[in-house]
Amino acid sequence: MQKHIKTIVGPNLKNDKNINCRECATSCQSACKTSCTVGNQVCKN
Amino acid sequence: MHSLAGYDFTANIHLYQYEDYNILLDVNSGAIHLLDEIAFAYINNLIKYEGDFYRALEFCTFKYGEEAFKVMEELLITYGDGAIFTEPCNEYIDYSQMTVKAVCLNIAHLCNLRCKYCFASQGNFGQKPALMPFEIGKRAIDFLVQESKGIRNLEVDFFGGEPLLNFAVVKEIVSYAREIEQNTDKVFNFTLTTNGVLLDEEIIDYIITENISIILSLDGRPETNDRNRVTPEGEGTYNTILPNFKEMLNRNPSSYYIRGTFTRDNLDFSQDLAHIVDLGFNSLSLEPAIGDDEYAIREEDLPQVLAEYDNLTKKLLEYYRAGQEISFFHYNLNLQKGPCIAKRQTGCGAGVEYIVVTPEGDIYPCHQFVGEKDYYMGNVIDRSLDNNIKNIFSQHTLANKAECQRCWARFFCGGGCHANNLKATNSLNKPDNISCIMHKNRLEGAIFLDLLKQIG
Repeated sequence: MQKHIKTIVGPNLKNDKNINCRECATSCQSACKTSCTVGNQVCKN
Repeated sequence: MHSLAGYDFTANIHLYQYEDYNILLDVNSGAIHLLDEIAFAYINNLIKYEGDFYRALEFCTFKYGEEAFKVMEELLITYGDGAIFTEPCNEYIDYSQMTVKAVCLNIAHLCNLRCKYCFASQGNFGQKPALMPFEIGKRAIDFLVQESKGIRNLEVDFFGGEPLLNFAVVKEIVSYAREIEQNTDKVFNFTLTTNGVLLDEEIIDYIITENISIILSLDGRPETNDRNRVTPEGEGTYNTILPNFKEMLNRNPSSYYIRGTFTRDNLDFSQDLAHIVDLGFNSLSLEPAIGDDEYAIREEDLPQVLAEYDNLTKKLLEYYRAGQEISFFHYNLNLQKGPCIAKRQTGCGAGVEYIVVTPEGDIYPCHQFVGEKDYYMGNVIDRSLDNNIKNIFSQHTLANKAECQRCWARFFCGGGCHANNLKATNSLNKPDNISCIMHKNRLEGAIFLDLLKQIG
């Protein structure tokens, strides 16, 4: 464990094995309908 | 490696302080680090001296002594692990493979309320009031199954207007889709958005039995809700809908959200969140009114809005520390297992993966484009789909939005809402600045909250 720089979340965006499978939820179908976001969608794979 | 000369720090990291914490987001890898004071100072100087490790070290050694060397050593290890100062992803993604997999069914183009800020012209979208016949819904489902090709998980949202004004057809459509599930590998995920006025025992039973995700519209405190969410006679709805929503909650739905809108009139909206939580709901969403009408958040409101999001973050932290887990939609970042880079670059999917179907069967890119002649895409009756419109939307990805290229939040918003962008800038490709500022503020709070949860 490092003392000065603590990695809380490791690299994850470039490690996708199932990239572009498109099985995840569509952003606007959940709770917002007006202010789109994608970062809170869950990968189903 | 002793220099990061030429590295675009602005585009590729986000270094910020929240409360007493120093946080660094490595944009391209998604890695997040907590820094102590020396590391925070070192990286600030690394940016100041344009990536020169030794000049940054020189400054930090003067102030912090030998520990500055340890910071540099840790930084190089983290860099070697691919968790900091990473380069943008240039991987080719074949967007032509994207197909329709989600349909918003405007099951009723009429409403039993007259909410003042309604983007849908009080439910009819500026069109003739109408209820969707089952035949149109059936064709929309067939269209979805056909267009989705190999995609297994399909989404159907019953929307309006008020979808419960056409509940019989909702049930017919669900039954039809369930039959398809029996004969194919397709899985339908249903959502229904309702104002709650017609929510009775029979409907609640049905929603629970059919495992339909439910979105319940409530803006918060009675005075907030009743200011805008009113009957055709102008009367508030809080006392009508709340018992129905509580009954729904008592039945333990598989997935629900209390979904509210905040406007210029309740910029103290964290109080509305607290009220909803006090009512016993732990899954909620509060969305800013966007656009150019009297209710929409304006630039001059932003200082108060941002301060209020900070208050909201503090409230969510208080709930967490008290053992009460509150799911606030825009703060539900999945930092460990979020969407892949392709999803993040393609954004909401409107016009490509996601379409809306009107009661007449007309297709538009999303619910906010209904009635816009320039964005009419076809009709489910003859299964027509204008590929020109689809191509336009498929090109409006993150990679083609110049203003987003150097924004640290780009992989969380995917370039923003097309409809908001168009309203604010007259361009699908130019982001709505007000939405961007609010979004970035929410992200800083959400990342902070998530980190605190992880470190205990």
